Amino acid sequence: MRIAMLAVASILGLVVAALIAGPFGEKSKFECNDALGCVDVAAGASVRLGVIQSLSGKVAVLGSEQMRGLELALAQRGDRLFGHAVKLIVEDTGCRPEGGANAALRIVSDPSVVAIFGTTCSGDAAAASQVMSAAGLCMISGNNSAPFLTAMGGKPGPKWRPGYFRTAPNEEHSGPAAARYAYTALGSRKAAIIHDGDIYTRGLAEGFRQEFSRIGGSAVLFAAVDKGDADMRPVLEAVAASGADLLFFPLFQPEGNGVLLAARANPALAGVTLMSDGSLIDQSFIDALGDAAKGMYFVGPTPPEPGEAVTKFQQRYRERYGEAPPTSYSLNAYDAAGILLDAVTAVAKCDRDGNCVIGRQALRDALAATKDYPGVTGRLSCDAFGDCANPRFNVLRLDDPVKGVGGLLDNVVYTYEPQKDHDR
Amino acid sequence: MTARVSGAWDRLGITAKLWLVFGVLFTMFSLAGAAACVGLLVMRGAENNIQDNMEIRAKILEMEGKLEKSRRLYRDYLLLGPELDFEAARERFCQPALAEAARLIAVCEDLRRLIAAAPPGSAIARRNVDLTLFTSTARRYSLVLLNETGLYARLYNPGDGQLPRLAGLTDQLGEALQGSSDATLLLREMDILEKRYEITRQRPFMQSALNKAAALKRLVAADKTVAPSRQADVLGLLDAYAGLADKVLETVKDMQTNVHDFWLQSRAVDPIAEELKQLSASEVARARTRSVWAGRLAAGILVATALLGLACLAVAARLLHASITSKIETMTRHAEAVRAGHLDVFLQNGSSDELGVLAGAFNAMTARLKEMVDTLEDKVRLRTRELAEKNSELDAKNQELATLSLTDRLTGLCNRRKLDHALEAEIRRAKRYGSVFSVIMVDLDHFKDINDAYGHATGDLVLVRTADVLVGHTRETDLVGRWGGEEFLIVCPETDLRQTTVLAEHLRRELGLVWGTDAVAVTASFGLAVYSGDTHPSSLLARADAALYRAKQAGRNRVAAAPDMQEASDPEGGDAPGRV
Repeated sequence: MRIAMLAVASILGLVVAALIAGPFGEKSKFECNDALGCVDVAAGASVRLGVIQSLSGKVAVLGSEQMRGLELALAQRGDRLFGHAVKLIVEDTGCRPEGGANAALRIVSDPSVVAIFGTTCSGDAAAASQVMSAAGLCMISGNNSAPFLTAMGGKPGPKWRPGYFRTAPNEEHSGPAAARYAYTALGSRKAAIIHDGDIYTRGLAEGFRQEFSRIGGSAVLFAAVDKGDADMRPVLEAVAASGADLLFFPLFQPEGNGVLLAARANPALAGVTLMSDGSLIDQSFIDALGDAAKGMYFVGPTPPEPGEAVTKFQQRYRERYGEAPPTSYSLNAYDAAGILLDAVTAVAKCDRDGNCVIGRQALRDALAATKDYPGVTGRLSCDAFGDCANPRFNVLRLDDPVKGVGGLLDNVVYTYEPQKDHDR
Repeated sequence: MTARVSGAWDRLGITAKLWLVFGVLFTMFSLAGAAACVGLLVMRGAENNIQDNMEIRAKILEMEGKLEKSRRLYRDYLLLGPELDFEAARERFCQPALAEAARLIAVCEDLRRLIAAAPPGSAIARRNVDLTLFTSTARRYSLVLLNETGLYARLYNPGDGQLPRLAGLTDQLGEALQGSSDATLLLREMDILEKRYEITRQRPFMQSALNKAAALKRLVAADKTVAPSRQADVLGLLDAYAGLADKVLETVKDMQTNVHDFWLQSRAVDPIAEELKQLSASEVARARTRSVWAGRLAAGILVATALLGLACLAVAARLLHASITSKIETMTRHAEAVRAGHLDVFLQNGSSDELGVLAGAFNAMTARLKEMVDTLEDKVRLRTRELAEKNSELDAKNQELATLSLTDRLTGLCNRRKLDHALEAEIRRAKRYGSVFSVIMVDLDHFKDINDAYGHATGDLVLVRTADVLVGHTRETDLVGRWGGEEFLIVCPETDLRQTTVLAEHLRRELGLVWGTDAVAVTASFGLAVYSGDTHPSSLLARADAALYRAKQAGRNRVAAAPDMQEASDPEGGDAPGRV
């Protein structure tokens, strides 16, 4: 009797227990007190990093260098951050501002993205930075150098947004450096300037024009081409008509290539000195143009001093990709990625189970607090506007295309370092 | 295992069995009810899911529709704007396009709310990220559209639009340059290039037009025939033209950027809408399948539980029958058998429930009954045997009593009663058949002296020896009996006086022979009487006694015969000497 009652009671008990049993006890989480919110990285989940680069078109080579810098930085950390795998969400901008905006929109729509590595082109960065910053994220670039993105003359640039950082040098002084060299060393007095409307090329062009005019030269033409323009003859006819003795065209590929070829094809421009910027300091440009580029000047960031760190980096680069780095920008990318990954690691708070949270504002603060980071491009410290690199610019002349980008980088005709002496 | 279960079942009491059985049945029904509830819940959930997904789908379609409509309106605006009245086109296409874009954002927000409310695990919920992108892109679309319409207005506005102003400048230049064929040619070339630019939107055409303008400027500047004021006008117009053309280029470039932006946006969001539609459709399909399966499963569980319940019921009924009813029936049959007197029955009941206990008690009771019955029979049999024994004993006693009643205990001779019967029988025979018989009365002489001298034991011995002598020496037909004390009577059927006298003499001599040698001298006197019509034995015996008396009188140890009845009445005839 008692046994039977017990049996019946236990059956009923089981049924009732099964009915009322529910999922109890949520996993304990860190309380998020971050002003911008937190990103949860559950145990076993990947740390998601957004990557916005120019991976199509002629600029793809620069974007690819950025990717490689990131990959090498990740590889050095075992492709893991605080015990979690890293998942890259890669978006291509095509080196167009609207591409940057749309790519950033796509990335920030995923709340699990911790930070963004990008961009390649400054124009994309301006649009992406706006979206990224509004979403409370951070973005660090190893390639953007347009002054608008950070600071101009010690004041925030028009496109500066909190959360934006870069390890490529602010080219605020790149255009002026080129103008000074053109005026003083090359004896140019009439300069024609062509940009493509991109804030980067436009910034350089404006910097050049202002400095050139300021020191006594005359900017006889300030023209533009559009990205994608195929026929550069009209604009070069205008250059010829302007009577300029120097053409400064800080353009990307392929517009830069087009301008150069059209200039070479225009007999009226035979005596005109051609000068471009860092975006064309690239093996693919030299390969594509060959002798046509001979004698051309380039203004660009000074590559890092050769040293053990650089040699090691180049060795690892060769081991992984089977070739020497075509530009030095992969070094900036590597440092940018390193700063970002270290900051993320420093900010991440993990429990014993491996569930982690990353505060967004904390990450911004950690990036801004970067001081004397031992990068391959030197010791890097980030300022209030996100500039982490020391601006130093070289003017290079391509004497022998056969020597490639290495030969070009070695052929420094002028170095400009704003923090130090202006002429060296 | 089965044996253990069976054993456990047998050990349970009836109430416990009933509890267990009804408990199991209740559990079955509870399970069936729970299964039905779960099935209903799942189906309801699926229905809700379908409803939600349909709503989501509707919103997606609405969102996509609004985006499409906005794009179409914008496209119509671009295409038809220049042909229609600008304000009318703006009102007809541009404003609705912007309104649709604004509504699109609202729909997106609704959709986001719907999807946020979707079950967390569902595929559609995981697309919240995509929807965030859709919403932000829609917002961006709206902004870009606004910017684009502004740029469009800046470019085409009839009053102050850049292109109308550029055309105006060209017209003014044409008027100003009338008369100069070279200049007009250049102007026309410039205008054509500009128009080509307007059509193709290829900057090199505008650059060429600007080059022509620069050439025209140089031409006009070099032309000395032109009045300086007019020259200044033309140069001013050309500068204005170049400045405006730069602005047109900027505006067009911005518009192109916007178009590219639109393209990127559509590339980003169109697949999302498509995917969301597909997802929503597949969610609906999945929910339907789940609903159908849940229905089937619930029905299956219901049927299975019902069948199982039925089986349990059957098993329970069988078990209860086996455990209770059949045992009661068996016990009833046994009780009837016991009532019928079959006390050898034994109830087999292995269970330890109440019925088992009852069966045990029943068995004990039957055993007790049987024991009692068996004991009773034994007792009866014993008593019967004892009775039989007593009966036979009684018979023996009776027989002995009968013997004793006709026999003298001391001598074993007939007693006086027997002698009386014999005398009566002889008298009746003599009367009937006319036969003759005699009696001899024997009396021991001086017996009192013997008793006194030798004691009663010797007296008795004398009597016994005398009886033996008398029996031994009489005929078989003669009846010898003790008449009392030391008197014996011998009835001699079919014997007359002479034969009787001979017998008596023989007996007297034998007695003399027996006792003559012993120390004790025992003699007897004999009185004879022959039946002679005596009506009653007493008369015969009286005559014999009288004869005896005479023998006694005559000196004892002699035989005296009594005369016949007639002779007795004649006293002389009776007492003849010598015959004494």
